[in-house]
Amino acid sequence: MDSSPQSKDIPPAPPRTWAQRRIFRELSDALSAVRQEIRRLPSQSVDGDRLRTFEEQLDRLAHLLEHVEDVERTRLEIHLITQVALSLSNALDLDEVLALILDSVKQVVDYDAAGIFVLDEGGRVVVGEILRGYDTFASGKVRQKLGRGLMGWAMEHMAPVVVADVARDPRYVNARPQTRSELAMPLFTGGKVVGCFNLESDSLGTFTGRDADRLMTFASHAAVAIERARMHREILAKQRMEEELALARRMQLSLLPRSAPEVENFDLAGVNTPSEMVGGDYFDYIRLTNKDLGLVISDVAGKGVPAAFIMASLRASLRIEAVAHYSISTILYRVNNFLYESVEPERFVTAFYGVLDVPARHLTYSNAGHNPPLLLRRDGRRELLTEGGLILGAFPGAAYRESVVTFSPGDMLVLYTDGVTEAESPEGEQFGLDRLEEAAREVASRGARAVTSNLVRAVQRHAGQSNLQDDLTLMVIRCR
Amino acid sequence: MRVETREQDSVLILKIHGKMMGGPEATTFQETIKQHVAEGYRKFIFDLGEVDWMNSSGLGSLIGGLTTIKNAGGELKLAAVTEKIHSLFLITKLVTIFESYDTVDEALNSFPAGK
Repeated sequence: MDSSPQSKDIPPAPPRTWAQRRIFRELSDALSAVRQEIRRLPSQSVDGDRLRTFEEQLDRLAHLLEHVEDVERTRLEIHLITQVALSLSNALDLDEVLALILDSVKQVVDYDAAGIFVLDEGGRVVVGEILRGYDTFASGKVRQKLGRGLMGWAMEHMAPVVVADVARDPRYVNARPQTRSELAMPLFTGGKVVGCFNLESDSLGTFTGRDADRLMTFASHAAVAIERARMHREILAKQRMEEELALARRMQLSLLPRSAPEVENFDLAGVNTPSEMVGGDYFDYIRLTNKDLGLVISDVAGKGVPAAFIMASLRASLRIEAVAHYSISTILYRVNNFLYESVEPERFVTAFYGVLDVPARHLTYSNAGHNPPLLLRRDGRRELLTEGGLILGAFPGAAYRESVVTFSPGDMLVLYTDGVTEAESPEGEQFGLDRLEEAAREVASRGARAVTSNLVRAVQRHAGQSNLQDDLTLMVIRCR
Repeated sequence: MRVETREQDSVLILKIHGKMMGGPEATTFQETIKQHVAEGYRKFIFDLGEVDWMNSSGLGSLIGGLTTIKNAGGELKLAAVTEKIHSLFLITKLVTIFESYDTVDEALNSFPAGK
């Protein structure tokens, strides 16, 4: 049992309409019978004046009966509308509310077939959300192009249509062969049409303007239910998207290294600062031998779950190839082909992969379309590591060239994704390479960790924290 | 992003305006290219002179377009590539992939005459 506070407000039991209609019919039949009996009386045996008085009283009785019927009908309408309103405040299921509306209307305006049609998101199609009496559409929801038929007219002109004989109305489109008359009423909220209420009858001239008036309140409730269901769907979709993003974020985080390895001669640090939109940034350290350390930074085009998924594929394939093959050209060649087969051409990955020979202080690398890492020499020179080949995953069979750089103590390599250099200030100015170099050199003597932290702070200061659209991903390799 | 399409000497010229980035616009763009290829067009020029911003997803749209056109045996040329887009092409090494010309006329003239 529903024990919510609303239950107390439920109006008294509904009039028993079927029985009531019978009583009204029998009373009016009895009245007609009495009239006929009176007419059949032989005229000489009746006093004319008394007969007229008698007939007047019968007229009054008939009038009273009509009035009582009208009052009862209004009472029924109010009762039904209250019920609909209550269900509207309790039920969230659109179909449930609309079904109740259709069945309630049936008791006020009799029909042979009825439907509540909802305009879909694009506004071009009406969908029969709930239907009664359409045999042809027995299963599933009906979709109908907008702009046709009486419903189309009603929605376009935002006015109800009552048609006494559909065969004589050029606007009518036959959807149900038995139909002779029809009533279509547009549903709107906030001045915007959201659907249409449609009643059909197998008899001519069933519906009147009065019926249209009666339908109005039900129609406005239906419109509110439809609008509320739409808003509810939007909230759910937004929630789902946020959940997906959180999932993608967790996925991305779980694939990033928790800490940098400790090696001789070098001081390493890496960081990924997430933005609101989850990106597909990736960085990693891959231990290849006891002297060789693989270093990778990469950025997947696009955002969200697909980007996180591609990042996971890249990581898996790179880790497998990096261990299986010695040559960096071969590794990237194979990773490129693998990604090309796994992702759509408009999704691609930029990546920088290098192998650090720790004791010898050499870095052999190849740059697959990634923002060139900055090699900041101790003496102030700056080198960009651009040698390599095409972005990964877009074109099969691409070739990748390698190059070698040698570190001296005090040199520092800064790897980054475009979220860093392209972070814009409120004035639209990008962070750029010069600011990157400056912020890196500023704290270089304090170690790689200090450099990554200082860079993240500098970018956030430049952009204003709320303004960051992209992940910030950085790696710093500093030679001791 | 807004695309203006015109045809000249059986070459379809798509002038792209605004920001080239991901999302539903990018999907529509891919659909449009597929549609043109299905209609029988094989020679395309993307006029990028009015593109004021492009991110990696926008670059992805160009690659997707090129792939669709090439797979159908067609040709794509770029015209009026801005400095910003050119620097993206340099970083990603896509300069080696896209054939680009300073103006639409130059791109038009680069197609062999006749059919």
